[in-house]
Amino acid sequence: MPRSMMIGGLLTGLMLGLALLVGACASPDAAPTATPVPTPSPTPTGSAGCVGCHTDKDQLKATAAVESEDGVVACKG
Amino acid sequence: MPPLEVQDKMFVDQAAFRGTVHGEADCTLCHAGQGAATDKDIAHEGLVSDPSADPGAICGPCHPNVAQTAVSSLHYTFRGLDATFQARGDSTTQPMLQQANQELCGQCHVTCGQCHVARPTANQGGLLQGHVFVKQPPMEHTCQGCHGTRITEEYRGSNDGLGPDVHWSQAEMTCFDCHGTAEMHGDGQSYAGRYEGPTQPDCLMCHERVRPGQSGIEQHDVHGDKLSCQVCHSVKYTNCFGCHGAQDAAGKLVFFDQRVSSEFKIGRNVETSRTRPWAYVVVRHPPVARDTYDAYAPGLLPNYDALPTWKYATPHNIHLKTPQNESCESCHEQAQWFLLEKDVDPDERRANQSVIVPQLPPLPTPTPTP
Repeated sequence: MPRSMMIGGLLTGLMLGLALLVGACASPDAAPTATPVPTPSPTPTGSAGCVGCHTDKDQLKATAAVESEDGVVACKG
Repeated sequence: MPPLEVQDKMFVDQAAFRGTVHGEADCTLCHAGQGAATDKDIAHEGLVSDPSADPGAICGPCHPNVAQTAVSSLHYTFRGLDATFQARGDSTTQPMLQQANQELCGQCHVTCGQCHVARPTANQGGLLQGHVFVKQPPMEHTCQGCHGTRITEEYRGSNDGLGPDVHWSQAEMTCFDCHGTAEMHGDGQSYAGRYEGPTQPDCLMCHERVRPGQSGIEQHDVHGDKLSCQVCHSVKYTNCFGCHGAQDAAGKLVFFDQRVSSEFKIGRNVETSRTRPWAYVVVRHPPVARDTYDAYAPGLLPNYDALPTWKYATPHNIHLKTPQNESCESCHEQAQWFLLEKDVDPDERRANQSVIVPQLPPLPTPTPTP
């Protein structure tokens, strides 16, 4: 197989995959609505700070204890 | 329902939550804040703790129908008290009554997330399952947080050893087995109270065979169109008197009841409708008094007598056999079951004239044997 055909095939495959990915993101399983659907991030990395605390019970407890000593109302849920 | 410890309230079960559709997004997509920050104060800048406070914005895009109706539901609007404020207050007292409602009673208002993600805020909140969205909320952590003071005890049978409601003891039915989605989320109409509208449960939806006039049960055929089901099949339930707003030791405004009693009372039905045609119903004293809102200002209910204080009730303590339905004699002419003038506080008799039973029902005359 000529080298140019291989590269062409790879590029076509990549474009097709990308189109499918975009299509999946743009077509959520929901009834039609005028409000745009929030698009989930494929790699949720922007909330590292939230995850760092809220997935660690010891950390949550320690934070709450410090707040109580300060007289600040802790998490209200 | 005891409050959760903070580490249980706010704990996100990442493994479980990330595997769900709601867990695919960044936290900040719904909660805003500064997601990359590791300092708590900075991370929480601009935080939206309950994104579903505006259901149309967050829930609506994927759940358009329910988000649209939810905003007019009583769970969301908590406007059930508005009609009483209109009737008992006047134009000068409405602003302060509305303030009291928002600061005290209205705390029981709930959003989508306060049943499907966390406990109601009125019950100090706390994530239900590590932030996993729960399609059918666990009633012991959600419904009972707000409706638990009276209904839970009645339903589970912890009142005076009267035994659990038969729907619990025999079938362990949950709230959702009778109270459907349309009632929980609203049907798009704005109702003045929970007994209005077509979404409320009806015993005959399940018990069609005992419909008066078609059941072959003599008591049903004789009483069916005159008595609500609870008149014969409910037992004693909690009544609250003299509810007052006041400041607790920390200076926070709270409500407390001066007197609570366990009674069963049959009164006249003053709100007859197509779905409530009966002449007699079970009535309950709700937590209200002439001076309930005096902690805000005295005299906020100048027309207190405009509404009865013994209200139509549907206690959740249903039994097939009850003390009053043992025989004709166990109910007819038995003063203990009926709301008579002597049972009503003298200060509230005027308000309850339409509900008070003026005369005990006489024993039926025996049919002469041919």
